[in-house]
Amino acid sequence: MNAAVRPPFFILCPLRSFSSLVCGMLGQHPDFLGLPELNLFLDDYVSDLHRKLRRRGRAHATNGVLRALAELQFGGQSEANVDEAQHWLNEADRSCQDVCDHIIALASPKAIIDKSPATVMKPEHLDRMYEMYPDAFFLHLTRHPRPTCKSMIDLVSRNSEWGGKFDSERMDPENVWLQAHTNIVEFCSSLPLGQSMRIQGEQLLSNLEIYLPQIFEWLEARTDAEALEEVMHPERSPFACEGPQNAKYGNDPNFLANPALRRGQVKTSTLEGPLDWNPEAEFRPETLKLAREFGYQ
Amino acid sequence: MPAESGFRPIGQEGMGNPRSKVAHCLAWFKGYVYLGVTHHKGMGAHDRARILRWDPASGNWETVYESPLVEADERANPQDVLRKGQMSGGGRGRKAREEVEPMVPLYRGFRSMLVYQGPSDDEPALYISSICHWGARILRTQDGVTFTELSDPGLVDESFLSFRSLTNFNGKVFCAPTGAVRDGYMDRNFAGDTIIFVTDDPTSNAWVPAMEPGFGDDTNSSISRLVVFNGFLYASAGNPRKGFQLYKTDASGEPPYTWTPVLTDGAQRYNLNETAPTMIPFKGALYIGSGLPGMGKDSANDVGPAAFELIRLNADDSWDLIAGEPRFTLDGLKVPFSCMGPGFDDFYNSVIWAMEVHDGYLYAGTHHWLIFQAKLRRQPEVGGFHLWRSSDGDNWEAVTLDGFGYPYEVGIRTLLSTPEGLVLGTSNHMEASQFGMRRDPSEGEPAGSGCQVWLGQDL
Repeated sequence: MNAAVRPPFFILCPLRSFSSLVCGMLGQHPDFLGLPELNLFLDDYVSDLHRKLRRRGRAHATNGVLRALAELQFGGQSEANVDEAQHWLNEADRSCQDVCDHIIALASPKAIIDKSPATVMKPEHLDRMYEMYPDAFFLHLTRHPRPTCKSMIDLVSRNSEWGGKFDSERMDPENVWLQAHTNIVEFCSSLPLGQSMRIQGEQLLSNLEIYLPQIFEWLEARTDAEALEEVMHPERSPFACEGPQNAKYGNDPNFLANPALRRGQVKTSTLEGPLDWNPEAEFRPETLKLAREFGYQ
Repeated sequence: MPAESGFRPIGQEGMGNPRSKVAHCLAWFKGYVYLGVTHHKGMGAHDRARILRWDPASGNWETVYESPLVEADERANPQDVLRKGQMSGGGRGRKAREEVEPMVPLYRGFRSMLVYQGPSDDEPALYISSICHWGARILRTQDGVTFTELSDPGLVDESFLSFRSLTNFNGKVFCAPTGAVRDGYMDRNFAGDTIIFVTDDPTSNAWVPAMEPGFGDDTNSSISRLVVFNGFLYASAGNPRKGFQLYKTDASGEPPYTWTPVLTDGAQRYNLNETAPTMIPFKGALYIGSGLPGMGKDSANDVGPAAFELIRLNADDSWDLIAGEPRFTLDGLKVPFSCMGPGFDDFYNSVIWAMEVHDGYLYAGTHHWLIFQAKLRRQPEVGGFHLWRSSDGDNWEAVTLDGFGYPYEVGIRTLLSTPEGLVLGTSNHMEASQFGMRRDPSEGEPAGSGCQVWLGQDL
């Protein structure tokens, strides 16, 4: 395949599914560029999207696209360049597709990798993404629901907005896992054979030598040792650290603080038994059914 | 029926009994095609299972065995766990409940046949396993018309509904219990015990376990198939939690034998490959058909819906995906060699029920459930089993995609290569034509009910 026309590659998963690390790794492949979360499939126009995100107190969700533009268009992720990127976004009523196309062109000949978890929370977001990029590759990344949910709780508990305490009235982590994966499964089942593939994050990270060549074979990209060695260094990504004060995030804060790959077996968990965050309950039948289809026990 | 297919019907409408819905097992014995037919229920004398034989010379069918009748008790009509919550009818169109008659058949079906010469046989005999709510048994005929019951009910457990895969390996006979009747419930597929029995002489009634129960995994639910390949006996275990597992043994030493795992986790499609009910050697490899019961959904265990996969196990136990979902695996990237997805690109193909090698081709017959959905949605009557074939295992061509024009022939339950041609037995669900209609059981079966048998020649 001509690298110049390589289609974009999207990682589909809910939050807390190893996606920052996986995107950071795969994005170090010489044929790809792993981006911070662009969140460009949540609306049609960037102005509407960013207004909506700010109104919902999620202004940090704009950090990814600003960092990507600062890095690729304005020469680096300085505060001034982020301001330039913001100005560029504001100076015209740009559609999300225009902005994404622009970033793809800037990254060329590398293909971009995006992994914005918000995309998978609504079918219309996934449909918008597919309408924009019908030739894209889609990787469905899974993680056992129990550690995923515990990690969600840990994240929101550290959010100052939550006052350091998880409130089950405000968020049902199991429902986030279930809704996201249900949406992804439905979306992927509508695609032609082979356009999407699924992988357990635990299996991938525990068996990198086995799975990484397969992923790049599927993507019709290089599988030589030199290329795969680059993949082992997500910390070398320009986005594997906090950004400037006006666009600090765009990825999981834990990954930004410690982006290096730590080799070893990733622990899995059990579907059986009471929920750690709600000892009165166990996983719902719908969750058990889907998790078992993904190979979890 | 497509004229070019080379197939013609040699038996229709249950060969004399339209309640004989399943042409379940076939054997070539003494110059005849032997057929065991199965009834979905055993409600009365009209549900007696039969063994029939077809004479190629005359083209006629003859009933050579019919189940005896026994007094009905609470095991005669148990609740089917698979159909609990599925196809239950209800509403205005609900079918009036059929009553159990005082006398019911001991056997409502026959599941497996084996031509085998054991130490007590002067010549090859035909061994048959029955479907029985009081513990399945093994029957034998030496002359083709006289049948003898050989075993205790269920061999060792009267709850065993039937036995799959009567198989001869190294002179011993193996079989696996399939389904169970317990506590008022019947599971047609899972026996609860995952076990294989073996005997040196099936006339001796001395069957012993050939394996550790469940292969040491208590989530295995039943043995789906036994097959001899490459000097080993292979066994597939159904597993609704993890997906099927495949083991092999050389059966050396005394039973229980040592078994080696070959595939686990449903070949890493997990429980959507719940069982592997069909396996057959072809051109140096073992072809494995997976599937889910009924309408591609195991409602008792909340698995599916999904369509089958076809997998090829090579002599070194490496494997290829022939038709199915591309995936990353511990054994490398698997992309379907046929370029077809699950169900040969048809979601309604829930399982490969039968495979056979004939005249250099591998044939695969499916269960296809579109007709049920079409009737429930009041759509045109479309459906019928699929029959595919391949000369190399990679490239497949459809022989029929509509049950040879009979949409209510939903599955190919059995295939047999004979000197006369390829014989095919169907599973019939003509009663689906009356979904939503109030019916009185005394009206009898709708026209077109009963299994069919087809013969393919000069294919």
